[in-house]
Amino acid sequence: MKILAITNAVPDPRGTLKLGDNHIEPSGVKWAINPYDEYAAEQAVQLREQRDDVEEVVAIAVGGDEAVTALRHAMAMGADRGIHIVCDDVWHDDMFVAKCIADAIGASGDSYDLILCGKTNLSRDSESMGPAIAEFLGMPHVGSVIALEVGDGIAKATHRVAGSNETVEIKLPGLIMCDKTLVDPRYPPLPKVMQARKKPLETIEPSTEKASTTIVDFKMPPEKGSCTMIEGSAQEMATELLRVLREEAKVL
Amino acid sequence: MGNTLVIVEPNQDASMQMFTAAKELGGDVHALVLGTCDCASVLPCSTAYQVAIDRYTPLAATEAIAKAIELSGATTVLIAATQIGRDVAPRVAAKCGGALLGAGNTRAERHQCLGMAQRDISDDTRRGLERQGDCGGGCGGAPTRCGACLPSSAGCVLAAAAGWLPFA
Repeated sequence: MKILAITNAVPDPRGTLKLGDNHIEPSGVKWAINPYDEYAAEQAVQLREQRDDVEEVVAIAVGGDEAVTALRHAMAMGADRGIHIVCDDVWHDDMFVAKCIADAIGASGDSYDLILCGKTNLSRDSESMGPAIAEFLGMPHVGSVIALEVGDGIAKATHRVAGSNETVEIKLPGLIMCDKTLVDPRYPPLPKVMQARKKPLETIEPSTEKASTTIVDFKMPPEKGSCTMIEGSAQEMATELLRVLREEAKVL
Repeated sequence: MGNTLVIVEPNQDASMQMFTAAKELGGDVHALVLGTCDCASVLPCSTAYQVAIDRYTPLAATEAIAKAIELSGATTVLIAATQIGRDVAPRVAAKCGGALLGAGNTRAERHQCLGMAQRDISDDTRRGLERQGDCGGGCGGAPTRCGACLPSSAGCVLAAAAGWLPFA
């Protein structure tokens, strides 16, 4: 069994972003592995540790230098090698990324039994990449998976649906989108981080150059309005609130 | 503007809210009901198709939507950002070679839906999308009010079929 973990990079959620002309300025952004992709990498490594038939765990990412950061992190967690699809535009859309990854898998000749990715890409807050890759490769997928059992040629996945959890089975090869609580990602120790730098990292060109969507307008969310605290007894607060609503807000 | 196909999931009010946006886009409005809901006859569209899908079956839903695109000649497809919508819309876009404007998780759905609408849908339509508990005129007043017309804060995904005309 060969497992592919998709581990793209996203701006570090703890960092700050600077708005440019219809885009976020990439300079100064600190990058990290997409937290949901970290679950995918951890699940892949755990399957290899638990099973005797897992030949290889491969990590793949699309992007510029920031993608290498995510790939090295996945390799420090335990992935055997990485594939870097080089693309300078860091704000590409999901369909572009999905097409590049699906074409790279097809061109490599490698046959992956299980593809794991995060359920969401936090840089775009989108969940489109996984299903699109599955469609391009003609395989089934399950989204928002919180529990996974992999058998011989079959995977049983529990995933979130509206207000409840549902367990489904799919035939492999298939794609699983990992949600939080699926596994607890390990924190790679320094020796593993150093070893990851020596693991093979293949660099390839994207199969397509053009994304299917273009950002025509980009705005930060509006800032919250000011807040006035009303103090006093319940009667005083109610009286003052009525006055504010009538005279200042003019909504009554 | 070409025809628009609205994907209707039973008991999902966001499905009904999209008929307002579909009408604003121009062209004929068609609908595909995914499930056994008997609301097809009251949908505000020129043609309604229906396929009996009861459970989580993205592959079957993708096939059905692709077939409905072919039958309706739709160049734009509107799919609610439900779990099934989020799973199916990218597959449809990949299958048909179209672009995808997508909503994210529940927290961002509404914001992204309105962000999408602001690109070229009128203020009236935008307000229609913002209204709670309003199907946008879909089956309001109809004797049998569809179960899809319940209050919601869900947004919508816009998936484009081949030949889709971009909003921008």
